Amino acid sequence: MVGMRTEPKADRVVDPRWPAPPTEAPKSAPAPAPGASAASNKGPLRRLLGLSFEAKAQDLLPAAEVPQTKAGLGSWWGRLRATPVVKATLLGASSFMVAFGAQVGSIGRSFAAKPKPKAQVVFVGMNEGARYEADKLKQWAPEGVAFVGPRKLQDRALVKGQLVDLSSPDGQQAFAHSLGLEGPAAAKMQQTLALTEDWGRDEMAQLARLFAQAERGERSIERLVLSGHSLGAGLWGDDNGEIGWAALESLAQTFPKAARQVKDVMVAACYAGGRTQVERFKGMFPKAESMWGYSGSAPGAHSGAVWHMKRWEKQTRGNKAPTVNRASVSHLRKGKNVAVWTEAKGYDNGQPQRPIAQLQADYGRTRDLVPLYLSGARQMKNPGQGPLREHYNNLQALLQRTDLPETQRAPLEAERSLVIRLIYYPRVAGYFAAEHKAAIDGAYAALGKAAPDFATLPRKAALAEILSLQKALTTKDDPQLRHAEALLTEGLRDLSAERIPSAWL
Amino acid sequence: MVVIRALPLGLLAALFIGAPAFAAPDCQTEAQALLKTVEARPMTQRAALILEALEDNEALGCGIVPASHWLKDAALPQGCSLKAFKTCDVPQGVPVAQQVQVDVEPQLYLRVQSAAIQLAATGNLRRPIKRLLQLLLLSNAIQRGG
Repeated sequence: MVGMRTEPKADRVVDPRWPAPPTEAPKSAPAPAPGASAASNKGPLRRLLGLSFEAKAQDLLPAAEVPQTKAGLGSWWGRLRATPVVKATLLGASSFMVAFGAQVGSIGRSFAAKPKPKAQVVFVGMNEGARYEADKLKQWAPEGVAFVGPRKLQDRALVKGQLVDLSSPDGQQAFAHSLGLEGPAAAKMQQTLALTEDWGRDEMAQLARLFAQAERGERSIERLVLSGHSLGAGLWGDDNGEIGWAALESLAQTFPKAARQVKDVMVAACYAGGRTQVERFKGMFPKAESMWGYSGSAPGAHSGAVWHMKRWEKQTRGNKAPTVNRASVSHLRKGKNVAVWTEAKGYDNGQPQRPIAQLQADYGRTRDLVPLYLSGARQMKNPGQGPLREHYNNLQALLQRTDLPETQRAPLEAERSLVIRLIYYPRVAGYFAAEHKAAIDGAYAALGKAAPDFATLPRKAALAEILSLQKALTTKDDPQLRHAEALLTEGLRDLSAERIPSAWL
Repeated sequence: MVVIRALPLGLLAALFIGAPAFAAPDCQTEAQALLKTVEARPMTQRAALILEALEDNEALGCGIVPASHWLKDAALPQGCSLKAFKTCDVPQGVPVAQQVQVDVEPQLYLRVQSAAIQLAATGNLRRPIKRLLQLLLLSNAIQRGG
């Protein structure tokens, strides 16, 4: 843990208000009261113990603002003049206080209401200039900014005080375990690092730490900024590596709860605002409400990006629906290249709307895919991409049009509800199986069989199981069996919105 | 001279014949050195610098893509014409957004993708070289499409 302190955590660097683990020595160190003078160090008790404390301006800062480095602690300890015996006694006493404080704190926390998670903007910057952008954004964003940026040591991370190589399988595994991941989740994290290009893994590791915190409910990631160079398939920086969208997708799949927190995404990079990118990001972050990108070139850190970011920050702040719009930057450099998407208004890159007849033709071209996925003949490989996602986009494009005939709206909305549940079928099946485990196990026990694992069963096999359960009901009318059959039919077979809540998507 | 005379003959031979210091620098090292120079320039100036280096420095092709590749016209994919280039299905070596294909110079795009596919097939499309090709496309696309 001591070694960990040398690597500043992204959130702690930018927001010292974030609670630190109880073992953070400088926080538990007694800070002199503001305004304390050197004279006040010379009280009778201090004289008796042979103590004196040379207060400096840094020591008078609130504990949270003192840089939490080994050097900071060392210099504090070094300035404390006392006999070795007194120092040893103080060290022992402070250790006891830290341990006792941690215990009391944890008990207190379990009774007190959980602190509200921070609504910081998570800022990933691959270029050196990104630090300037993040600093500017920090001035405007009320909850601050958690910065993820270039490190001096490429593809390295500190794990339990040891520097690990994130390009090696061993290092990737150690890092995954340090996030508290085990089994398939740890393997997914390793895959995420393996998918990340050389020199991009240190930034990916920083981002993964924030996602892990969000997954555990220790913070929220509602707003995400990605800044760097792009050709539309990833994000890179000068003298740095690249985080490809495939790696980001893998990260989102490693931390699904965290990914579902993301509401607003800004990609401050060239060519990262096309329709395809937007759809890909919607696949990564299923609860996204808005996106801001660039269909052409984007402004640089010192040539206008921060003014775009200022407007984006304001338009996505708070709990109201995001109001991102291109018009707010139309007078600024590169403003004409901005492309935005909102759940309510759809995609807007400034180009004239396509005729609705074309959108209907697109929809007609892909609608025959639905029965194939519904029967399990075809399976989703990636929720962000593929023919069924394309069909979903065609559906969405139609539903976002105000000139869509009202008679067409209701059936299209019903189809959208079904298609999105098919797109996320593996995840839906996992939640469903966990939620109804007792009912399913009970029904199969009544049949004298072990229940199959519907969480991992491919859709085609799951449908066959449901069918066999229905057949069993014709010969054996058991209430448990009937209940499970109804759940499985309405839930996994028909994917009804009543049985499959949108929170599972 | 005293030191050299004292060295065994085999070691001397190794120094002058097979020592790594005298071997030609590998393409990734060459690419990294060029990348450092390129990244010091503004984005719009980078394409010209990279292209010039690729045309002059055979080593950047890793023995797979000759320098002459950058001087001659690349073959168009089947069923494609430069007139309708935007809709051409070009095999992707370096993944790009559709708009890049619209903005970038078509012949340059084809040369880059063809080189990237060849380099990837031989395991040479690693970070420095891939980044040079990415920057070549990005810089050109920004210059032309803005």
